[in-house]
Amino acid sequence: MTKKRSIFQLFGVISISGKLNFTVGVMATLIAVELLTLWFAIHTLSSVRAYVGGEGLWSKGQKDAVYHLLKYGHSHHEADYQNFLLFMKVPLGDHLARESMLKNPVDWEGARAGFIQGRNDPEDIDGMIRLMVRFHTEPHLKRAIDAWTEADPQIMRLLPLAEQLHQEITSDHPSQEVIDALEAEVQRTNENLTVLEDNFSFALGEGSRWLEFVILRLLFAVALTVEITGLLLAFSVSRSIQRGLKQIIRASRAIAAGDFEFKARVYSRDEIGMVAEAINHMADEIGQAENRFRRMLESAPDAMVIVNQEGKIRLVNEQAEKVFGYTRGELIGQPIEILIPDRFEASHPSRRQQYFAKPQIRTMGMDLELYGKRKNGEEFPVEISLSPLETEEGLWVSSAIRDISEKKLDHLALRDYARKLEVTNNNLEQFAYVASHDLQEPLRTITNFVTMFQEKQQGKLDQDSEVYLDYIVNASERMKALIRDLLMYSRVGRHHVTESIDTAEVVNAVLQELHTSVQEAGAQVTVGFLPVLRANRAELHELFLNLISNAIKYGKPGIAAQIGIEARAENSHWLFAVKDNGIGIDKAYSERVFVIFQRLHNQNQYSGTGVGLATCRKIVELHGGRIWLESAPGEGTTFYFTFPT
Amino acid sequence: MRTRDLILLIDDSDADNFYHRFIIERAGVPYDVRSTEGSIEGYDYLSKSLSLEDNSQYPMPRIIFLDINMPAINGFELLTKFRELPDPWRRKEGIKIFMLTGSLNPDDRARAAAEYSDLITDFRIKPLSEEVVKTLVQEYFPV
Repeated sequence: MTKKRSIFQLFGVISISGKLNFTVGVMATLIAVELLTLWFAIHTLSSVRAYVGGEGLWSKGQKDAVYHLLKYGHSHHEADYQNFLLFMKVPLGDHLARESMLKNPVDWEGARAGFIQGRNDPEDIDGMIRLMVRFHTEPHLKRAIDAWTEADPQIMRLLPLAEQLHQEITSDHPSQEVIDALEAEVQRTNENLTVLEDNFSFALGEGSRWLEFVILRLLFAVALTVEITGLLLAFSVSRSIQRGLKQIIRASRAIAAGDFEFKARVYSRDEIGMVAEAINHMADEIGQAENRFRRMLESAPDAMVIVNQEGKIRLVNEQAEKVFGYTRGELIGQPIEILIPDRFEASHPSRRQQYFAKPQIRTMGMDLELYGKRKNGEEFPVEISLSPLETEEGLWVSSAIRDISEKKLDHLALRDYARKLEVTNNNLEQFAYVASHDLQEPLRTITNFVTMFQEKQQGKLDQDSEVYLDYIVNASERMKALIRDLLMYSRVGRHHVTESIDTAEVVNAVLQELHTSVQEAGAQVTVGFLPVLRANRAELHELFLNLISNAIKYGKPGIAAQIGIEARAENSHWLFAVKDNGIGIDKAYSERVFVIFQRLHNQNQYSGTGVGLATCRKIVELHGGRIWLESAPGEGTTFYFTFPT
Repeated sequence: MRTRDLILLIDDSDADNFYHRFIIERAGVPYDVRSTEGSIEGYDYLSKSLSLEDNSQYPMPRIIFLDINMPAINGFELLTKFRELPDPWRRKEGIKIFMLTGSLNPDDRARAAAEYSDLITDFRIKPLSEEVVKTLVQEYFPV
């Protein structure tokens, strides 16, 4: 059993050409065997035939010899006797051959010479000897041999009889009586021989018929064996090939259908087996590549929908299921148009064809106002990115679809927020303006009546009350200043009308207004180049007023203020500088001073409201410029601001 | 020669300092009142009180009323600077800092609680009243 399997295993390892060669070899061998058998059988048969022929010659020789011997008895012609001797040579040769073949070992030369003398065809002689040597025990042949063996001494008796006859006839006084007796003896022997010759003939005839029968059967059997072996081998080889091919075909179909798990069974290690293994390996590779592709597809943050040239959906990822609300099964095989709002559905196929005509990676963004349609019919804004995908089934298109509803909402929300902010800001400015405006009235009442009260009670009040009254007057003044500045601040931009203005003129006007304080401070003001530009006149005035009065106010005690005002053109704007030699500002506060109500000093050091520089910044920024300062404590300050040209 | 504990007012407003001193005296609590004109002066006062060997001119206060809105360095910034002072002053038993503000802005209160709860004892709106002063003293320094 194990041996059988191992043979099959061995057969499995042999290549297909080896198998075919093997099959053909077996067939050829069998056919050779058949031919050999045929050759042998025909040879044997022809030897038998040769014996039959030989027997004919032998019988004829014997009969002719007897005929001439009997004739000699009557004629007494020497010629007849010589003829007898001549014809007797044939059976004598055969006798010689028989004797030689009986020897051990067979005397081939003697046998050959004997048969030649027996007038057999030299071509037949070797076959005849071989037949006799090989098959002398075969029953038919044995009977023939027996007949021959029996006949041989009989024929040998003719020779002494003829000798006696010859002596009698050639004697001086031949006796007719002796001659007759001798002839009768010859006649008797001849009759005996005739029976034996017939026996020999019959036996050989029967033998040759039997042989013929055996040969036919043998040939038939061999032919049958050849046929069956051939068929079996062909069947086995073709079956093993077919079995292997079937596996390969199944595996190929499975791969084509996308099943990379299916493995072709490997039955043999021949070419078929190698192909099967190669296919399995390929399936593994493709399977891995496919897996990578699927993982990539599934892990994509966007909904992925892959469409073939007919616009049928071929692949989707989980995100696509989520976004569109369909299951995978509901999407695969459907036209892509089911994911598109009805109003775009009609035009989509032609656009799709346009894309297939010239496929390239393409992103379609928010500006296109694209929409998707969910299963429940709900529409949502999308961004789509298309890219061509080469597959075995032709060109597909992979589309990454992003639901941008939230993005759009954010966008809208932001816009909404900005609008609300603007409204709030406007309201706030309106409120500040109205509030500061309306606060002026009660404040005026307070100041007026405190002044009246102070005058009326002049000299009548105790010291404490005088102090209290001072606080009240100071607070009222401060509040008046605060309200005035706040009103100014909130008024900036309310009626923002611009006109062409010569800044030098504005600065002059401001210096006129500040004439008293400039003189009091003993300040030196240097005005350099100042341009003509477009601005709001009142605001430009307020800007310079604040900056110059600050420069005077924060001068170093005991040192005459030096103030420089100038401008120069830079790239796309005018750069203004207002420089002083005052107390300077610590770098830490260089941003804070522009914030409303932020002050660096106590009221009793430098009075102020903390609104001035905030107003300056508001004015500059309203005109599209920027304001900043450069300073160091004790080193003076330079305010810079820009105005667009 | 100091016999009484001290209340220190740190506020840039003269009028407020004047008024608060008046109110505290009227409340009749047993404290002297000193005021500084702003945060820088308040910081100087505390530094001197801590560093001078003879700090009789600058006695360490037990109560500090601290204004928020002050020029240059506001109340919160001053609190941050306080953290830089030599450590012992804060651990000294009984120094309480009360934040004062005229603003009704709730953000200030939230900021005080979030960032300066280690320094600030409480938060009060200006102006102080006799009632508030009495309550605070009774609450934190019961006799």
